[in-house]
Amino acid sequence: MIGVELFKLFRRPRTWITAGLICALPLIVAIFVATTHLVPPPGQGSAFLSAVLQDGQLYPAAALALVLPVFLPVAVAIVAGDSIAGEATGGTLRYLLARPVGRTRLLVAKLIAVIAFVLFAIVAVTLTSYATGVLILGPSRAAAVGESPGSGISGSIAPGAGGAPTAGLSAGGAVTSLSGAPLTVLQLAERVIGTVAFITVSMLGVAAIALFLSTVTDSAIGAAMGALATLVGSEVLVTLNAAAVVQPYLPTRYWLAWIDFFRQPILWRDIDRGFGIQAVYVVVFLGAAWANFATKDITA
Amino acid sequence: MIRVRARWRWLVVVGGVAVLCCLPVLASALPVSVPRLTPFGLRERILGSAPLAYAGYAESDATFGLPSLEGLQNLTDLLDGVTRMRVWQAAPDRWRVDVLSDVAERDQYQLGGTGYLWDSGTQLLTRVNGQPAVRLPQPDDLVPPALAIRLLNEAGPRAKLSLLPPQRVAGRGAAGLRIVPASPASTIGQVDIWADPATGLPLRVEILSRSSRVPALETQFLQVSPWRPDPGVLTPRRGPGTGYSVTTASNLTSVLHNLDPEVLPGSLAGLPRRPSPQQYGEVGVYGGGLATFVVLTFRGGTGLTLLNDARSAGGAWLTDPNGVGVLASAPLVNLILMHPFRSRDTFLLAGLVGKDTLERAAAALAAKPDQDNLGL
Repeated sequence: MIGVELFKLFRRPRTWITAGLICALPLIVAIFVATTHLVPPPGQGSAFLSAVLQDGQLYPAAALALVLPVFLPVAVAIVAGDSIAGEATGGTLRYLLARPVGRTRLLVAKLIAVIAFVLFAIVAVTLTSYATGVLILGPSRAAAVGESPGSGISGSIAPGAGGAPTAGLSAGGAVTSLSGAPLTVLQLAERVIGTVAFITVSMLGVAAIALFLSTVTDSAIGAAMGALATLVGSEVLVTLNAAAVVQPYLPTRYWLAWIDFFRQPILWRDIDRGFGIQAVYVVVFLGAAWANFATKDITA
Repeated sequence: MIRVRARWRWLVVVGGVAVLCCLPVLASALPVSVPRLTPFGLRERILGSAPLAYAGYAESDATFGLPSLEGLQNLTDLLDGVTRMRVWQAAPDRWRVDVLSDVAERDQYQLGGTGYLWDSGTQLLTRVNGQPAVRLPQPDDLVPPALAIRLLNEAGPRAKLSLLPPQRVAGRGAAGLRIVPASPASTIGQVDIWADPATGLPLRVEILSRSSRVPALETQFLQVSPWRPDPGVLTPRRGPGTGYSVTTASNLTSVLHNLDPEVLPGSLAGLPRRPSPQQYGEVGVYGGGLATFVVLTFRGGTGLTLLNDARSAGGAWLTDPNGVGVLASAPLVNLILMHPFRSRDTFLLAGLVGKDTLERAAAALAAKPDQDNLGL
């Protein structure tokens, strides 16, 4: 059942076109940045975009920041919203359930297919943007060890012999964290993997909402729009001071917490909360989807 | 049968949602108990917590309502709005405070007599040699332990102390202490501090003005724990492509450079002058404790620019027979810029005193003859 759903997902041209479009945005941005050398000032605009001219290896982080607010949630909502409602619209749901297939099993298979799509889209963005960053924007332009302080060399400030701190130099890392400390290639890879995991889980929250709505309506677009309306509402409340009491429980409240992977040391507080709140949304909405779908009258 | 099963399934889901929704309410409703302490015992415990090593995450929310003045943007950002901070302290002179935003951070390190500033926006690490005798408020001042200990010291032994009901702060039961300043001239109505009863570490501080029941400044830990000092965290390190510069602490107080060496009176508005900070003889400090204000004398162009900025930022004109002034009034801090008709100087008066007190002081400065202390 799961294999069938995965096969159906990846056989559809729509899946590949959607993933291609998500990957295309960072590519277009990279071409503009590489040709004009214009980026937002550091600390402004999309996260990490100001740093990519210095180091193309950071481009996966910048690319994820570009697609996270709109492109990724829209794609996930469309795919998840289509899961059950799409079968109903096409008139295939009744035949699907006529086979000796339990409804809960079908729901789990649909969920795993959505998870596979989320992971596929995010990994595709990460890999294509890494290639884009290194090939178009170039690798790290770190200065060689031995240059004087102030000229761009990486280093550490170690206490000197007399207790007075002196500027000492050490071999630098691959990129610079938000806290200024260098990150080695291994640390960078670990943090990018952490980011992928965090954004995947964040998108699963969207998928769970859309999947639930997909069991409620026979309109795939209705289910997707319902999930997106929930996200837009959440984003509005996240910026509203008067809604501070409910903000910790909103689905998009911790979406940007993955940036904390790039601080040194990693700031786990919001990352933990982000994982926690998405887990709650996934459990609640999948539970609701199961409660509704398992006993729903199938007419189409 | 199917309907019964459907009802049962929905009951499970709705029951689960209800339990999840109730958890935060139940957690906040849990009773908080702390050991019995006297107000003075808690005060001593808080003051004794200064050397503790800790790490945590804190947020401050300030509504000082200061006008946006040129050269003081960092100050107005700090004292108006939410500041998110990550803190590590090994000792009172060895700590790190990171001010976080969504896509950037500004870090401050103190390693003995040397400080370091990291700004991810400019990608610059700056070494700051020495410590200034006088400086503007900075993020580490808003960390709950630093602020609580400073306020307790400033309040002095004459302040009225009382206990507050305990609260849960950063997941811990915290004992509460209220401080009411002794001086009626202070804009501060009360300072409420909640501290860990065992160690005395302050976890939450609220400052309320005399005119409002809403805190003008609220700072608290949302996460805190004892910390085994780690040099890897307290030592600034630079990644590739970053810049490095060295400065002295006095360079950072550029706003205090080029002050006019005006001779200031021995007392203003009934408050005596205190000794000026070392190397800043031009700075007049009046009053004491939580009822203090400073007087700075700016030369011609700079002073008039500040005056116009304060007016543009919503300050009110002050009518005085001897000069023209602008008053910017906020719940905790009042600020007056006064330009006497008979001088090219402009006086800036600011502090934790009521606007009546500050207006009387400004009027006295406008009326006094222009006299520079050439010995400074």
